[in-house]
Amino acid sequence: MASKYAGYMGRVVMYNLSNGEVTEYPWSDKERELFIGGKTMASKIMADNFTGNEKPFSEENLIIISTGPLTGTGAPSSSRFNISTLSPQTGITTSSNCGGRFGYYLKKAGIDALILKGKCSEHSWLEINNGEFTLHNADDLWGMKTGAAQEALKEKHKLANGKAMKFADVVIGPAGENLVLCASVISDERVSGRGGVGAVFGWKNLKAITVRGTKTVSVADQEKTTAWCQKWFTYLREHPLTGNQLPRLGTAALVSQMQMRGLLSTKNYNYGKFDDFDDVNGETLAEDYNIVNKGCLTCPIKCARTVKVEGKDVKGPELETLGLLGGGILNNDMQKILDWNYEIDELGMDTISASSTLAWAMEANEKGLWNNGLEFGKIDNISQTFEDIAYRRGIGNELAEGSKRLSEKYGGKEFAIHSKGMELAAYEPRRAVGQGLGYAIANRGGCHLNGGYLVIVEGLGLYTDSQTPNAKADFAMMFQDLMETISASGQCLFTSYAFFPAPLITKPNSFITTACNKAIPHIAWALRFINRCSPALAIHLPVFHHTKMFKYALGMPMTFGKYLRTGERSYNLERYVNTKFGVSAAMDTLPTRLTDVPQDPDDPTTKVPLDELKKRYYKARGWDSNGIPTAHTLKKLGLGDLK
Amino acid sequence: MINVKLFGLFRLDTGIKKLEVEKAATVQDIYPLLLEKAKEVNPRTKISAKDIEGCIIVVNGKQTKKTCALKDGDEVQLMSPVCGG
Ligand code: SF4
Repeated sequence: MASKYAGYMGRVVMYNLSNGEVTEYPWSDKERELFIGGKTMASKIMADNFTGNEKPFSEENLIIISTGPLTGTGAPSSSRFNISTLSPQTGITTSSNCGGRFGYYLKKAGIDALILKGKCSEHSWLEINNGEFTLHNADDLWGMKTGAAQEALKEKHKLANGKAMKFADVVIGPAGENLVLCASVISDERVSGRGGVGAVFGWKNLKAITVRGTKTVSVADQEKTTAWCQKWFTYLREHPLTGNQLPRLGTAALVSQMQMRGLLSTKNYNYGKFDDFDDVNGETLAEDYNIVNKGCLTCPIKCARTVKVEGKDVKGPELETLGLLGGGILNNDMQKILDWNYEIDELGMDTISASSTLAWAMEANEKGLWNNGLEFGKIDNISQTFEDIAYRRGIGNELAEGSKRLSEKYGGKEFAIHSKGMELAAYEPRRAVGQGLGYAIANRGGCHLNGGYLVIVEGLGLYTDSQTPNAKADFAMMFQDLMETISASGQCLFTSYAFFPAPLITKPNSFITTACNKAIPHIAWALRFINRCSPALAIHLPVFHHTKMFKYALGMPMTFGKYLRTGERSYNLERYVNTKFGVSAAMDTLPTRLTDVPQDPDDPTTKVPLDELKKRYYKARGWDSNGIPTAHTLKKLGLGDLK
Repeated sequence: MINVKLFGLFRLDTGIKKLEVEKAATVQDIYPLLLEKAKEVNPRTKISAKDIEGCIIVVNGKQTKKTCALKDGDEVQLMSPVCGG
């Protein structure tokens, strides 16, 4: 449906993989205002289509690939797209965000969101050309690793004169084909990693999607948009975090700081510090291994690393991978992490879940629960193990099920580091209890970002009291809501880091920063006020450029308060869909290692007081004591008529 | 001997990974020596006392202040602040 707002292509389309039927999915301007795009739009589509009885591996399950309205407008770091589906890891919804070019090309093909249902009758790949769909046999691609599959698709997109067409793709690897529960989807070198979206592709016999088109993304006020973008790009380039730290060290910058704060998951979360961290941190990566910084389209930050593996220039590891394949399994060999990171991407798996499951298996072996040949610090069989997982061979067939299911079979639930079936990232939450809350309540399972990323104020940026529950619930809600709207608009969450005033980051020992750190646990009331009354905040903040971009690029009125409320709606909507699949307080959990066993045996506060934190969080969100959004809350957010 | 280790962009900017200091009563006594060494490594270095003052200080694994007293065998970690990720 055509839109009065710029930035949108005006088409949401459902493609039935079973019979090739194409249906236009109704999507109005009212829905654009309420749900913006990306993961929020996907949540609404899931709310409309799911009853709670659907299974991840079923024809009824949908794969929703949605873009944000800012993609293609020139806004910084705005080429992110989203894949939502029912996760085979968790059985509830997952949304997996990815950089690269695919989202932009989908819009060039005239599509804001693509909904896939049904199942291909044979191995297939889907070609989208300017909004036209063709399903091809993929027997020749099936079995290929992700790099080879992308190369083969390039061959298929050669013009008669031998020149390459401009197109973008998403592909799965052997892990997706073999229904490994943490299988990913790869686009160029970027990864839609979390939640096992690749396995849903695999179950639907869908190896790849390619997209190309010639349409252009419109902008409401070109002059103002260009001027605002220039200002914003400059701001990001000058900010110490987005202009210096992330470009020069990438996300790996955090390893050393995590070590110093006891936040670095070590030996499957037994400890928060790794003696050999300096061998596997961002500094060593930058000094000895990084070749060049790369990044997504229209991104001035360029946080990705490029390293050498088998003589090739490939994408380097993110912080989570360094943490989990370094200290997590007691490995101090950086080159091995680079190799494994590349191999996992080639096989098409999520590095976080695959690595964390490996660490669980090592501990299970050490404790005599499962004799599997995997040992902490023993690295000569890791490459083979990842291959075995992807092809479901030997113990790999069991590891492919993830730590939750394995611990249910062999015992060791207390050290299976997951929430709702999804493994946690590398941040040890016993020294950042708000981060622990986030892992437990995150809509898609044990996600470090979807839970609010409170570690940023608990030791990785600001240094508030990391053990107190005070103000953490309110902060979690605010950060979640902000990130929801950033994601829905198609932008990278890292653009929000420039929200932190530079002096607070660069001068951690200053009087103002110290006072700020001390004050934060005591300002719960102020945060609560902002969260509750957000629509009244009809303002634009000078450090938060996102809101004016809506006005200039899309012609959509937006204020900081409305932006927050949009995120709140998004978060509640996703939670609401998950409650249809049985999510409640009983599923907002962490393993008892993190809630009952202090990281420091001499300091009983070094564990996550989860029950207390959850109680405060549900109250802040307007959910009942069982963690279900109340009718009043849904109505307040314009979600009163949900089925 | 006190072992000083550098982290973060501060390490990249100074080009110094480690430094052994014969004696220092407190952490801040190390700063001039560090500045000197940075100039030795790169005479055109832009590192200033202000940059060192901005570092997070960890002594023997515990975060502390620049006035922290030191003794022989201590390990001092100095890190320019990082955020997010
Ligand atoms: S900051 Fe990194 S992940 Fe985000 S858009 Fe830029 S390059 Fe991509």
